[in-house]
Amino acid sequence: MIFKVSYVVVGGEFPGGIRNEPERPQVGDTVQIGRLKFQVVEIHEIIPPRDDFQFLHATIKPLEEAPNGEAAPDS
Amino acid sequence: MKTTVLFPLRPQISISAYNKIVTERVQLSPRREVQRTFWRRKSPSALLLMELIDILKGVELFRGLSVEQLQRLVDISHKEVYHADQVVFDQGAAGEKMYVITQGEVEVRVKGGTGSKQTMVYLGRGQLFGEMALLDQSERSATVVAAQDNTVLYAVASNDFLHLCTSDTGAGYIMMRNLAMDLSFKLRRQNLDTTSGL
Repeated sequence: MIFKVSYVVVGGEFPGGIRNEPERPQVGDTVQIGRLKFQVVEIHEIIPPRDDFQFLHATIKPLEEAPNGEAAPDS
Repeated sequence: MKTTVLFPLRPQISISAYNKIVTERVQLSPRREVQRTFWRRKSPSALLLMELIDILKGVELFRGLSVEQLQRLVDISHKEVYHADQVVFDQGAAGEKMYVITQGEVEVRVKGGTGSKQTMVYLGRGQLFGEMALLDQSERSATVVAAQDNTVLYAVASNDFLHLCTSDTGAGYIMMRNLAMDLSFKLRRQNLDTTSGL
């Protein structure tokens, strides 16, 4: 099974991302998008599964500060 | 000059490669021996092809294609490797290719009203981009930059892709349906962003 996941950052300015994951993300998991790390806070199905693909929408929150020293969105 | 060992109906290999096979057959258990020998006897190009087909099977755009259809796709695609911050294409440029990410990540940036570029999304492995210009023949709607070193993309020229779709309408239907699914996914994602106030 391949999990196509849309990652959206809670209320922040960070754009989030989309990628295929080999395993279904779980609440509490850490993901890196761009240069920042995030924690998964919520997951739900965005489109019904087809063949070997599941389509998920994950809400995430930043775990660390941005590299330029500014606080990451919603941190 | 390189000496080769001829196998009937098998790829030709060098003497040193053949010796390696024999050595490994002695060293490995019988079960492992069969597996290792099988792989060693595949030509490098055949191995690459098999690896690439495996990668493409994990891309939503190609979901439902047979191995033969994937092989035709491999024939018209080429690998491009980018380092971090290297531009894949610029907003406003002519769109001649679409890309599949097999390793790494890209950043999609759109020029705002003030002229500054805003990052819209990061796309990772298995994702497709550049397909809009392929469909509507218009200019690039965003700038795409590699976000990591060793970002590996497979590029397919628009003309080659459309020719494949018309010459094999079965494959064409599957890929166009999958393209629509991908655009639907991105639209639903955008709607969720909007409704959540992002």
